[in-house]
Amino acid sequence: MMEALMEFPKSLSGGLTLSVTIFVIGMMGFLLRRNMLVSLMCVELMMNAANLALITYNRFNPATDAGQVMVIFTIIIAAAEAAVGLAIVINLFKFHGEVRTDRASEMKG
Amino acid sequence: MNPEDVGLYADAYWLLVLIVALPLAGTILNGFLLDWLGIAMGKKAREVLTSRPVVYGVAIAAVGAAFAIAAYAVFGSLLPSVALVEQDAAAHAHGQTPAASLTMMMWKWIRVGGVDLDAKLLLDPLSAVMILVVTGVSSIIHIYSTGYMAHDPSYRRFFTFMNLFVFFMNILVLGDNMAVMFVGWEGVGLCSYLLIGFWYEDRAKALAGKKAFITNRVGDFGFILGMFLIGTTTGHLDFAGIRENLPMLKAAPGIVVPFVSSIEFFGPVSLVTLACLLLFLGATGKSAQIPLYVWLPDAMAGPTPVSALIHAATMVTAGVYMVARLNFVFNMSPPAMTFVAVVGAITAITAALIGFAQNDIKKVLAYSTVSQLGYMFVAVGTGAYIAAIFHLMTHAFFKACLFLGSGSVIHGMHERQDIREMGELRKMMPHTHWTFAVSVAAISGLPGLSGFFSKDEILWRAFANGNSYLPWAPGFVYMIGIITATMTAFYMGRLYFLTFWGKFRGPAELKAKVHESPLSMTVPLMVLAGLAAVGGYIGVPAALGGTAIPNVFEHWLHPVLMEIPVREALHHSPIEYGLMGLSVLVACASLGLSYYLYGQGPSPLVGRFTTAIHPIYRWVHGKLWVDELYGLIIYRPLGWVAALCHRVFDRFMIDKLMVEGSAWLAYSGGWIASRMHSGKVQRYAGVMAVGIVLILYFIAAPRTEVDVQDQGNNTVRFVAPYASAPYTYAWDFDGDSLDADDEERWALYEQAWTSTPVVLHRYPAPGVYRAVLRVRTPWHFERKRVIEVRVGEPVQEVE
Repeated sequence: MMEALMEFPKSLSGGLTLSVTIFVIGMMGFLLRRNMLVSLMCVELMMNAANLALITYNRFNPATDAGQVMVIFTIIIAAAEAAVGLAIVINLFKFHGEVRTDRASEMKG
Repeated sequence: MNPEDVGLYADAYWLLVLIVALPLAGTILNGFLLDWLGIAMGKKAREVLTSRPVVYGVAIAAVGAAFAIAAYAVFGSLLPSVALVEQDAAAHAHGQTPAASLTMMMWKWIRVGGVDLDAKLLLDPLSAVMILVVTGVSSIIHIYSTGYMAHDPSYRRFFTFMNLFVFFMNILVLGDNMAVMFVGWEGVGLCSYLLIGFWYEDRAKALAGKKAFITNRVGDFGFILGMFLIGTTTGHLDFAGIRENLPMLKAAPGIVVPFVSSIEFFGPVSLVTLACLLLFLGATGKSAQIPLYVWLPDAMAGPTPVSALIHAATMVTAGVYMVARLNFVFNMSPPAMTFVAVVGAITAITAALIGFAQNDIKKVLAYSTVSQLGYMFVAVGTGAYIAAIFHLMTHAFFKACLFLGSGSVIHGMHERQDIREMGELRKMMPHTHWTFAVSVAAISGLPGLSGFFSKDEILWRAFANGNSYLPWAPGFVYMIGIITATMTAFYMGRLYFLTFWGKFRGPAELKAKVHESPLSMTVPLMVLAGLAAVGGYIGVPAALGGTAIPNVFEHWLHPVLMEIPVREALHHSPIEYGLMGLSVLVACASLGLSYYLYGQGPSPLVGRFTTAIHPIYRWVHGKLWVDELYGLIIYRPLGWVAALCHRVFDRFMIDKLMVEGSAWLAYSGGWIASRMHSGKVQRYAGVMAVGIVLILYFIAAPRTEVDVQDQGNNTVRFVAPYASAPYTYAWDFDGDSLDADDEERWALYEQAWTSTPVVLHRYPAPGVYRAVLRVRTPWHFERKRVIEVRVGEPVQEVE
């Protein structure tokens, strides 16, 4: 199990395919689900799909470690983003009594 | 004396600029500069700087200095120049003496394409006469105005406009080309408008100003068209240039005018005639001739000095001056000249007729002015340009005097203008009376006074005109002229006797208050009366003066004005004396009759006569109902058209379509855009995702534009597109892969998947080939393009 993980991804296209798949799942979830908590999780999913693409490229172009460094940055930003996002969710809940995204449409034209 | 000493043949006789600029300086000082200075220096200084003495002083000094400089320029420089030119001509036996002129080239004005216009001033004998009359009479009237406007609170505005008028009039007179002249022409029109409507709180007076301005606009349209016609044909607008290029004007083909040319009598109108008629239309506007004379009587709404200066002595003569200026053009068109003479004659008699039945002292003078201007047009129309300018000058003297005299009467009568309420004023206003009497005698043509010489010269020349287009015109014009002279003497006598003789007919309490005007008003009257009396002696006709009194005026103007000589048979004819005697006779008879009828107040005979011909009297009293006629045929239809335009263009097209339409467009566009702002984050994200995908597609899709360059020798250079991402290319130059199936295809590609975008290929023979290009991006997007290649055609020259 551990070895399999260490060897992943075995090819560039394999890693990228997985990355794209996860990204699309995250995007579709973000676009279609109404629960804001789920939306936040979908954002995380998309971000991690991007991380996966970065380390995949890094593995097959190992001249620098730029890809991996980038991933570390992203994780940190994701943590900050999660904190802000959850704070918004809590406020939204206090305001509306629920966290459905389509209810929070005060900004409509 | 050297020509250089007097400024002859040089382009920089800069005193001319001063003549023009000084009145402008007066306008600027009185108009705002002194006021601003006062504001900067404090309340006390402002009061002083805008006080009556300062304003009067500045205005009079500006015009007076302009007159002094003009006099110096004429007598100090132009006179010696004329002498020099005469000597020169005598020495070289040139024939006709050329005109001496001093010019001032101020700046190059318009230099576009073939147009070559300078802002240039010209002083020649003709403009010399005019400039002296204009600045001289202006100075006198400015002095008079200090008395007349002594109680008017708007004296600053008045003198500002008066100086501005003199400025523009000087430009008009001194302009070296028609464009500069036109600047003055429009400028005096503006000042006329401003001064007629000087008391604009009175609606009738404001409307009179408007009427004058709009009527003149009709004439200006003719002036502009005539100017363009001459300019485009000869290529010149300056008078000397037009004169040199007269043959071009003559050679220009006739113009077919709709309707007119279909009448056999007229046929295609020659270009000169058309230009002259258009210019004459301009003159009828400015100089109040039929059909555009209607504004001048109404212009009497302005202050009386304005009537005297602008609407009698100077501006209204601009049309005569313009025709005289362009005498060489008019001389080429006998039809146009005959037309001018006939229109002038009819105007003269019509205005005189209306003058019979007017009771407003200024209205009578206004119609008299129209009538006298008609005489001037008779003169220019018969080619007696010198007589026209002569009458213009004498008329400026006596008519200015009459107007100022009427102003003095109105002033003394406490703003009453109705002659039926006057009478006996010769006792209360002695100075006004005798100056008025002299001028009435002059305009009536009593022998020895200025009007006699000038009017008789015009009548004689009209009678003896040898160049008329219509054989009956000279006799007709003369007949009307002599009848008008009779009428003039009668209605001027009526005016004079009703005003100054008989018993006072106004309210009794007014009689004690009637007073003679102050010296500032009577002294100008005396000066003008003196000029009206003796001004004619510089132009005594040869038939009277012989060699004892030389005709200085004619000698002076002869080089500039190409006179049309009198008929051969009438040279030194005794008929001239006969006609002269006749006009003296009718003038005296008319004055006598008017004394008989009005000397002791209106006699009962007058009342009986007017009752007997009551309908005709009403018609004449109502100014022949011309205003009403114009109202019916022009004003009303124009009103309908305007109402229609208002409804269609203003209300519908502008208000509805443009204003409300654009508002509706913005509103509905905003509504549509606001629908997109649903406030639902996920919808935004969805739109964004679609957008990003589209953008990525456009970035990633390969471009296939190919540049095909025929290098000659059957070699073609293909330049494939390249982008920042490395493309690879496959080439099939002869297109045989198009018909092949999938397996064989790649073998037929001459060049497969290279990364160089530029390739050369040599074809076996010239012809048209089809080449195939495949472009592939790093992401393995691929696109095919089929190119048509023409080999062996000549390479297009590229600049």
